[in-house]
Amino acid sequence: MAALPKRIIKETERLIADAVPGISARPHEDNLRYFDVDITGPEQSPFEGGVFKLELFLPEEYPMAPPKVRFLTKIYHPNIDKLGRICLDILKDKWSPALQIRTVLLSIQALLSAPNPDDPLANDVAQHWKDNEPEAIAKAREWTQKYAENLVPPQE
Amino acid sequence: MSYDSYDFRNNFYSNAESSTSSSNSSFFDTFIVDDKSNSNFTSDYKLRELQSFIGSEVSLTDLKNLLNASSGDLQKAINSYYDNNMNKENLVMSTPTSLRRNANSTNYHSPDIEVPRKKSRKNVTRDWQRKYIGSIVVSGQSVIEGEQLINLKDKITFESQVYFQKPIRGRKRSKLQSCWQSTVLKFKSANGTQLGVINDNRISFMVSNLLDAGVCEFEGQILLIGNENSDERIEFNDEVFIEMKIYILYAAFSREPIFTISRENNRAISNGPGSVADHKANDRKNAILSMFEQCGMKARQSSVLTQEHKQAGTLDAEKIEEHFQNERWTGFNSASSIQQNFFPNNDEEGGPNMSDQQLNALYEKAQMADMNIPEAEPPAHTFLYNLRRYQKQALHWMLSKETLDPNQTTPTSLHPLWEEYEFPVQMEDMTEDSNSNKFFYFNPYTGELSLDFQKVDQCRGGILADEMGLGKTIEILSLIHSVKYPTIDPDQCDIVDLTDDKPSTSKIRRPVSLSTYEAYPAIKTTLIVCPMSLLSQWRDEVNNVSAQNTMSVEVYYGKRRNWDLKAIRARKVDLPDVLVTTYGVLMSEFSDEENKPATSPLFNVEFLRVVLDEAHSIKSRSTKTAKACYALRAERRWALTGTPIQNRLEDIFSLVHFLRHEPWSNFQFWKKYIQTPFEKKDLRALGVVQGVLEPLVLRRTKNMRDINGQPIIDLPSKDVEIEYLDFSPEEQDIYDSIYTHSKTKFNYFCQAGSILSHYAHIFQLLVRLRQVCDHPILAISKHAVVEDDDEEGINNSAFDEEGNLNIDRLIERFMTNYGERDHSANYQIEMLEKLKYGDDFSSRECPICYDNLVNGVLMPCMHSACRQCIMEYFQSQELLGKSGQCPVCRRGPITENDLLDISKRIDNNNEKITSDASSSANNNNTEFDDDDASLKLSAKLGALLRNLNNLRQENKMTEKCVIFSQFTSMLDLIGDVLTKENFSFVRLDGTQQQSDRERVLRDFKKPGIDIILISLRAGGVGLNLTAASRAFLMDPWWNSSIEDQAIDRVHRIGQKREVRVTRFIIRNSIEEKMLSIQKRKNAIACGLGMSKDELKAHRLEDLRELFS
Repeated sequence: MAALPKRIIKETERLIADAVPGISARPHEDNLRYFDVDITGPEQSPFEGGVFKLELFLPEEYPMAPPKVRFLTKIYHPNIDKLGRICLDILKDKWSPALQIRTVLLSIQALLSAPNPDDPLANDVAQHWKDNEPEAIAKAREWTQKYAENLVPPQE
Repeated sequence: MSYDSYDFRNNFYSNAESSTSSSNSSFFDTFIVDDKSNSNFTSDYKLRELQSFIGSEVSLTDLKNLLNASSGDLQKAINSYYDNNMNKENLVMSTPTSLRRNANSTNYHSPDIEVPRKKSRKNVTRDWQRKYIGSIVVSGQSVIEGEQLINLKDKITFESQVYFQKPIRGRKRSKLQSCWQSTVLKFKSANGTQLGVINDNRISFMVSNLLDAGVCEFEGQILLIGNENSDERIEFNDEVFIEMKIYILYAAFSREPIFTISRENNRAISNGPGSVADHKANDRKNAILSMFEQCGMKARQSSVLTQEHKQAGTLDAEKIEEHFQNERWTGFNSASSIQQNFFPNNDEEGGPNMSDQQLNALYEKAQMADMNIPEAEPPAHTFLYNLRRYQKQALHWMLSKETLDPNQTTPTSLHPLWEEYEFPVQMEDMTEDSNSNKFFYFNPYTGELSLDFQKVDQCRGGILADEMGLGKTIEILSLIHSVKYPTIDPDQCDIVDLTDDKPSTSKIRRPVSLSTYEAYPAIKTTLIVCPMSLLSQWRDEVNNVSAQNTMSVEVYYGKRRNWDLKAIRARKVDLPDVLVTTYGVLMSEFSDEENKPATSPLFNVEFLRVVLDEAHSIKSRSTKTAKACYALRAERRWALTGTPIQNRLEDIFSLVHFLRHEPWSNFQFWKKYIQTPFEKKDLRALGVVQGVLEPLVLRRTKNMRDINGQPIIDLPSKDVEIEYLDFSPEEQDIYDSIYTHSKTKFNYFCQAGSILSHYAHIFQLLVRLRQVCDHPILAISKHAVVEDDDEEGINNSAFDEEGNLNIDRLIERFMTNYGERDHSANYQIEMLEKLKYGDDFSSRECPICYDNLVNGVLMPCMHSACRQCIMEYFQSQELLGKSGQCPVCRRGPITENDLLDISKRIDNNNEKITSDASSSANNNNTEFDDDDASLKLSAKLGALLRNLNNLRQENKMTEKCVIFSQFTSMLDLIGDVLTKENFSFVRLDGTQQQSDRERVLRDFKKPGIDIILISLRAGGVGLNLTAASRAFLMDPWWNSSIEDQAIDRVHRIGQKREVRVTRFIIRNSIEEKMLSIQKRKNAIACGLGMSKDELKAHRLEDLRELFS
């Protein structure tokens, strides 16, 4: 494997030095391309109070190709499937090398605040969200409490 | 009403340095205690001291005010009191604005100069504080309820309150207008309890504004309560009838102009509508008008025009402006700034343009009477030139303009903008002194009130608008020689004895005028303001026409500006007779903010006269330069220009305002009577302008004839010929390929309907075509990617011929492709600026690899990245089937060709970045590979060489030549060719410093140097090239007047030989088409201002014609 590109090193340094509130991303010891991420549920959302674990992986072609991100914590959200895969345009066709890990994670956090049930990849969650939003939100809150730790917010 | 502390300094001429008070200073010093400590004690103490000095007839309160006004300075207070007929009322009057304006001028009081007030009779006594104006009956609603609450005949007071409501989102309205204001007028009983409100909006507006402005006082009496109950009981919401007496306050009458509306510092003119002060002033004015109307006050004396205005209800300047603004906004296409750049004639600022026909009509009338002017002789022993006949006529005319016409200064002629009113007499006033003012004066245009009679100001000056090259300079200098000192007779009229040409100092009794702001009277200095390139020319001319030691001239410019105001005041410096400076200097030394008064000597000195050369430089009244010129102080004011009206009617206004030609110099007036009708295509407007201009303007043209039918000036003939040339086959090829390409583009844009917004792009193409006509090499880039896979066979990038980065083409490209203006445009512009000034790009970070830029490139959107990173990205995009785009902003599609190298090029080519908008070619020496055989001559170069060789052989080069071109790169080429052929030449262009240019011009006059290369623009302004008699115009310009100006450099007074001009045009090329467009432009009778659509249509036609 080629030596880690300068970009990744720089990004990692900046992530640690200048962290975004509510988001923590730390590289794995064994594999510096693999990051353990914690995202705090944004306020005013049903995910409030929860801390969600994600994994983020920088493929070989990064930054030409987008990082691969996945939720590890179970979450009830119309754009996140039961495997934790995220439906977000910048992770797919709207990716640009000018984007970085920081911006990706911020976008995901924003996605939590603003679920978009009209996404074609909608599963039953999205349907539920559309049919009966208050109920869906309540369920999301329930799941947050059940699965997302709400004890310790991400530390830096 | 509270009194602001009043600074005496500016109304009383006490000079702290004068000898009379110096002996007192030490005496008083002992009494002056630091005010901060125990101020009460000290002020009492001082009061008593003051009283003991002044006497006990002055009341203590007055003394207190006096002391306060002198800021606690005992000495000053005493001086003030004794120095002048002190009016008690001056203590209480507050006119803060005028003082701020005076803050810069220190006191100057020379014992032998009396200071007459210019325009008014003083009203010395004041024994009233308010005067009754009238009374009206208003109705209001009560807000109280109860018995025995109101007594009829109780005194009522009024108070107004203003409420702001939600802002309205208006288009570009001033902040003040965007809030909805409503006023509530309350009336209260004598002890302060609120009794009710007046609901009538008109009344409440009027009253509250008048109260705010401190103009009036109101007293009321309840007449009647409109309810069925007994008089004793009052219910809520009962209607109450009140008699409201209106008193106008003494304080409302000003000695000096109020707020910011003044004659000299006319903000209402310069800043346009919408400033807070303007609104307040406008409200005040409307309130006063309303009050007069309500009280039935009619003017005793008022000009006819004012009456008309009143009837038409057009005195509200704001409404006029607003209306104007609205009209403007519907038409203005703010989206495309390209239009601004490329439709310079259609500037929305001042309205539609005037056609040439109209201009001529205007001038004609002014010129008619001019043939019969008698002649005047300048003082022969100081003025060395022999004036031509028409110049003597000009001298006579100018002298008569400068002289005050005794007929016009009779005391009874009221200024046409002011009205005279009589104070109504009421019983209460009978106790007043019979001396008290019977009349007052009101200016319904600005809202000013005054107790002083407003005389008409005469404009002592005019516009000398002789055509270029007729010798305006000489004419003005003869005027300066004729009248170096003002002469006064006791009636304050200035009559110059025209036959007496000895300026004798014994005639100086008083300066003609000392402005109330105590500018130092530079009574014999004429200030000349001119463009920078003419500075030395003026100085030299002064020296040339004046006999030894008769006229001193100084140049006020650059680092060696040495007019020290203090030294002048202390009379240590001898003032020159003529002071020359530039518009740039004027502008930079001017400050029009009230808080920062100008400290420059230029504005603190009252000149004998001020002359603006090329006065069309101030045609836009809102520029700082124009404002600076308006602020210059001199009674005699002249404007010199070959073209007083370049494009718009507003150009004239600026001059009229500068000249202080009343009442037309008042903007409201001008607008109402001239500008607005003109825009509405009212033909009478032209007539009015003619009437205004006629007395002011003197214009003669070169081909005019005098009384005897002889031409007024006999210049040698001017022969303009066009030499048609043909391309060589190679040139033809190149031209054709570019032409076809351009045409395709043009058609493409035509179809797309976007032609006018891509005007810049098209223009660029046209420029290249024209360059090819000069020489193909100017238009070809060595590094051009002229390959077939590029859809545009031509290099569309921002590289110019040498593959160097050309900022202006970048800009053009930017504007054409990404013409939408959004906020990211700011980023782009910023980047462009950085590029232009050679920012160091090596320190930037690539957004892809996060490393310093390696082979940095710029994308069209101005974002940067490493070349490799970007290429990699593009490739990955391609694999996904997508086109290249900018990684940062996603703008696209972009190909590799669109990338601009920035890393190394900039450093090497910093100097090579050109800012000459007309030339998209390299400025400095174009480097031609030496392996190219010696430079191939293009058709034009060949023809030029032929002509020059002919001259050399036939005439042994007795004729000097001037070669004009718009493209400095062409001048480079010509220079190379000339050197090779052993011609000696000099060159003048826009990049040279003033001193260099002077040197070049001097060299040209010497024998041995026979050719001068000039860039068309640089040569246009005022240069004197009469040493040459042959001119070559290498390439045509869109506007024939620019070419004419250039030719006039040679064909003007001082030219002794026949002038021959040759224009080179390539047959069957775009140049021929340009010629026909030129002809058409000259012949067009546009009518009273074309609409925007018509103009657009014309542009389109022009372009179509070019590409037909």
